Amino acid sequence: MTEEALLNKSPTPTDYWIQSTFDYTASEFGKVLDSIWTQVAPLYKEFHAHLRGELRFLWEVEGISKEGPIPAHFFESPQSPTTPRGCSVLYEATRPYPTKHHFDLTAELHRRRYAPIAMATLADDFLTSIGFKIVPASFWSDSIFRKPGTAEQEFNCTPRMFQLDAKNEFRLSLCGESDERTLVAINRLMIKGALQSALGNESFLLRHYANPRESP
Amino acid sequence: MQNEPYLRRMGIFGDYEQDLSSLLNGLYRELFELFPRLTRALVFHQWEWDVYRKKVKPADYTSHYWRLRRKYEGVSSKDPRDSAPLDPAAHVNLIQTPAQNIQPLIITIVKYSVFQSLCGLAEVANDLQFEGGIDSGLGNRTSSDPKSINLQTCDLFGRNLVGERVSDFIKSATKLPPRKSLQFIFGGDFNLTYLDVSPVLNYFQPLFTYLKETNKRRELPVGW
Repeated sequence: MTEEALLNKSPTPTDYWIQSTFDYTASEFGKVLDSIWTQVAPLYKEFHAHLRGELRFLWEVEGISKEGPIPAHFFESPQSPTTPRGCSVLYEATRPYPTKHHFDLTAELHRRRYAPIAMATLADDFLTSIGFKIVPASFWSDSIFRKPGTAEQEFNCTPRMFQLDAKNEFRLSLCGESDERTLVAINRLMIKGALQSALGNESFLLRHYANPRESP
Repeated sequence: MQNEPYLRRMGIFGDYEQDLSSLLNGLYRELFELFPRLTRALVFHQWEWDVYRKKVKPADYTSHYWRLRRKYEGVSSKDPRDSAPLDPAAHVNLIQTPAQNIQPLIITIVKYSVFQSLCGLAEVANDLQFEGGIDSGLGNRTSSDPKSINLQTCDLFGRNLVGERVSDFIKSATKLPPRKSLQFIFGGDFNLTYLDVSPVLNYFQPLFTYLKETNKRRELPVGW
């Protein structure tokens, strides 16, 4: 990346990536980010204040100061520093109405034993209703929606979408359950498949996925 | 993001009564997903850029990282980290995808604004249907006020216009930078920055009002 940037006469890899992806210079982009932060900060600060207050009450310790920053170890787990520590645990402990719940999608799906394939059917209904192509019958027969084999057998459970050709042929592979995570994954992959198929008539070089984070 | 009409179609939301407290709880839960993406991305991006620009000396890498985390996240380290090992290196993303750590922030913000703009389209289409239909008196609006669009209740089902815009966008997105290709979604008159935060803020407005009031009432200090 650094070499690539230097060869393209950019001072830093960050400059290079921003210039090539967003068509901004890095300093312009910095201003955009500053304005985003000033707009988002009020919401974050109220959230932060609420969380700090609740954590102080919860732990009854002097470790968290009343108006200072929250110590990081209250906030995130050492195993995965990118997500707050047990996000759902923190939510359970500090939610605004402790006696009430949120609308719990997982519980509802579980209660109804909602099949992953039914989620995919509805996603397909939605996509065809707004004008995307209908998926072929082979999609339904050849995709994997639940973990195959016995419980002991190993299987790569990462939700994946495989595109077979430039037409409308793609397959899903995931170990679906009746929960929110499966619903999100299925919808994401179905949309990905539909968008990918919409690019079917383009030349091969122009068929890569638009969102670099999602590239297969 | 939860979309009620879609859940109704799944046959799930029907008998559930959403009141203000469960709505606020739900939004609060979503904040835990939203904010790490925004604030962490800002910290990583800024830190990395400063390192590449040689604005910080290698000896200050860790302390600069904690300075940024304090600035953007309101989080501090337990112990002083001045002479500690390179803390930012603990983050997998920072190592694996150099220079691109602002992506989560961009994706999150654009997600909300794209959804809002598609909902606006769907509403306009709805109005047009009314005009041609029985009750033509209802279809006076030609464009919707973005603030009035509720992302939780907007229904995109069967809106051909939405599909058209999205496929136009996806076809141009591989050829043009996002700034230009996103015009296909936001409409032709779109020439400002596409990184508009107001859809996110609109979405969380009820919770923001609630938090502001209760924090004031409980005399919790805001900021750090």
